[in-house]
Amino acid sequence: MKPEELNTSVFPTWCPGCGDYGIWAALKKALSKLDTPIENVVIVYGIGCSGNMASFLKVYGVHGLHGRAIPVAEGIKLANKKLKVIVVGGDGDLLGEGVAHLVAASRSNPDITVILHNNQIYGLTTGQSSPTSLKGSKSKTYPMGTPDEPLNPVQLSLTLGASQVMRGFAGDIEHLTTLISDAINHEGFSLVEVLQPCVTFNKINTYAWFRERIKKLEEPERSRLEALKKGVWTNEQIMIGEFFRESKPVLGYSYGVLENKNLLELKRKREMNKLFESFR
Amino acid sequence: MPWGDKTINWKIAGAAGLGIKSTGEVMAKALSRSGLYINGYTEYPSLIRGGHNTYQVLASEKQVSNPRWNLDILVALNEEGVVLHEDEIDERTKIVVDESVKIEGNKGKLIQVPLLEKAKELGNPIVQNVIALGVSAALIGVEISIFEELIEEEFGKKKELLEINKKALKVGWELAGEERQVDLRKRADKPRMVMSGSEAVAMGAMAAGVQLYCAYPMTPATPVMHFLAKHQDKYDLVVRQTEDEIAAVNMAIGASFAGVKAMTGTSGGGFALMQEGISLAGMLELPLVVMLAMRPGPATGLPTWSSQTDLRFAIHAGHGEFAKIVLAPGDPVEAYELSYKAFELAQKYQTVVILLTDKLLAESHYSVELLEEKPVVEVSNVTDKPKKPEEEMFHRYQPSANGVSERTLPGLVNGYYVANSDEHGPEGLVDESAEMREVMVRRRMLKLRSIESDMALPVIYGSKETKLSLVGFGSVKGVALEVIKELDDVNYIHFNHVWPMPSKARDVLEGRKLVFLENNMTGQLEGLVREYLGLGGIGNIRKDDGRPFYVDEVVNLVKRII
Repeated sequence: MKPEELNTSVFPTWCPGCGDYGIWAALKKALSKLDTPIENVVIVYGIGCSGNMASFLKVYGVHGLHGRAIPVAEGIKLANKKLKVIVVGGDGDLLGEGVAHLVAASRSNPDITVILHNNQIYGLTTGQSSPTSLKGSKSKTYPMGTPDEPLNPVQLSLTLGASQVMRGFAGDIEHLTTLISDAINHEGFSLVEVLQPCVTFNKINTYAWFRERIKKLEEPERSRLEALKKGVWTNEQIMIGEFFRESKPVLGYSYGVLENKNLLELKRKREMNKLFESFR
Repeated sequence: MPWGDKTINWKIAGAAGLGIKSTGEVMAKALSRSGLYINGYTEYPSLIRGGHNTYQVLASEKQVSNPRWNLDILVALNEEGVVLHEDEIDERTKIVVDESVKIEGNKGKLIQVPLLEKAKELGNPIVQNVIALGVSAALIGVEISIFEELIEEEFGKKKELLEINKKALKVGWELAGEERQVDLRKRADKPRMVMSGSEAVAMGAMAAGVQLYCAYPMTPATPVMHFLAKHQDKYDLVVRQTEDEIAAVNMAIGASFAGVKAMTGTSGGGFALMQEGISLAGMLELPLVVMLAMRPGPATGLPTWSSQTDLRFAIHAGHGEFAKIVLAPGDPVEAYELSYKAFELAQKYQTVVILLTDKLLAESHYSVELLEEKPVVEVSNVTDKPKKPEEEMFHRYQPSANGVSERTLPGLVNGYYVANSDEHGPEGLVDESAEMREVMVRRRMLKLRSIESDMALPVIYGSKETKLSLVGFGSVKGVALEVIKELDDVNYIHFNHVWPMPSKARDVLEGRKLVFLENNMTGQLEGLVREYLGLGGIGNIRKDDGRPFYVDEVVNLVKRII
């Protein structure tokens, strides 16, 4: 399959130069190379500029509520584990409104892939600070600079036990494609944070700004603690690549009736009479 | 001597942690096994230890459906157990208390027995409640073997506990002395089932074939989750405790999208958190069943008490205008049937169905004669025909006669579409044009109207022609049925399908003098009947103190209105 075959007739509404184009391209490349047939792929989109991708991909999709893509994705996966389930959301969506769900998923290891478009701003709502905005950066809601410490999703997810954590850059599509392919094929929860410049509202974290700081991590760390250290953001260096991976039980693969079965196919008759008798 | 018209109203009261609830449940089951109809009602504060817990059982050879106020037997495990229930005691009441409890000048007949001392002799002070059970069995006149059978079922595998408890029963039986009844009820051949509303809801869902129950714990919804969790393996279902209620409703929606029957449950506060999710189900047009087990609000309210305060909340759930269904069972049989029907309707109309219950129904125990076996509800309105060659994606949201059109499930080749929370065109791609918006709004309104045909009409209990009709929904059915037994000139009109309100319901109510009986202060059903059926009442009986209506108080108020 060619990546372009996944386009819908809707031309993307992102601003020219937006990092979302790069991520879209990488995702399409990764999907076109998948062993899994495309009808078994479901993408759950959040609300934000990144979520608007819902109208640009010819794939089963759920364009859900702001911050709530992860539980929807978990529900889909619990229902039918044969599906590859991917979440597409932004920093406001996944780390603001929906951070509790990222926390829960990092802990419970559902087999889903989360592609977190991190542009450090709320773009679609025209320029408010986001959970990843640098402290002191100015925005429409904080003309005097945001008072909050930025959230580091790589470190957050690693701390909570996520089984695979990565970071990519919208300006390096080849590298990002490899990361995304790997994440989709990984059996367990995969977080791919993507550094994504917002050309319209974020004048600080630009392509140039990132290129000055990005350094590639060639191999994942063996220990979670080391991975945590590599995942840090400083003004001098931001690492991209796969920080950590491990193999561990997946939510919904070895859980009660799902051990050897797929919930979607469990439809046999429920005999209630024996149960009724136990109430006499 | 035959039992006749006699009712026995037995109550046990004491501090939390003394096994009040389990003792009460044993009594309910024992009386049921002796062939009686029972109604078991419990009260407890939001505490784990201390506080004051009660469990009362009303038993009769005729159907009983609501707790009664005046007690025949009160077993008090501490002083509070008597003091707090002074108003429920009269001259006939037998009060069983431990010797150490000091009771001052009460009505009723005091039966002081060494419960605690004997319990300690047996090796565990907690068995004072089982000794009290033995005393009660003798006072009521039920063969002790029925209780022994229940104790064996409870502790069968734990030999030591079984021995202590069996001895405790016998000790209690002896302690009753001359108060012991002569004629004893024996075990009935085929006793009725004893179940709670929660268990009935859970079993209705299981009969329907629920595959995923995901929820966040909240009183009084949690027992449904516990029951389903216990039976997961044998009934092919998965129970997932989510991080919060918002995750619960969204997860159920995701599972539904993939083709699985999903349900969640909560109470008022959690339901408040689910509003956006409910709106999502309406927009995506996905089947979803949500149980709302009401308790008094606002905010945290009275977590362990009952009310009917969220009818309007359920009906107006979710922002925006879209089709939803609200069902409100009034007893366990209805809870079972409507829980099952919720899944049928959710599939048929591809939308959210809210099952409205409350603590009174959820946590009381009732006698149930029969529940029907049912076929598993099919995941319906699903097609395996992919998109047409000229179509870009599958036209999920295409025009239809009743506002419902088939969906595909992920996995079908060329069946892809976007279930979009944004306003969308037929394939689900974003469309903000006025024309498409009109099409989709009309589609959603059409569905709203189509559902009416599946809404059952309210049912009249009692004589067809009376001076006055009590009108209610949900659990007030219990007290209403008792009231109409005492007042010939009153019947009861019961709503258990409350939304959409079927316009033909007007024919059932028209020309009658209506008195609305509701466990809320703003007359929510009354308002709906006025708004949608154009009918008013001649009065109303409202109560919102966390407690159920009692027969006598309603009878008195009705008499005043007549």
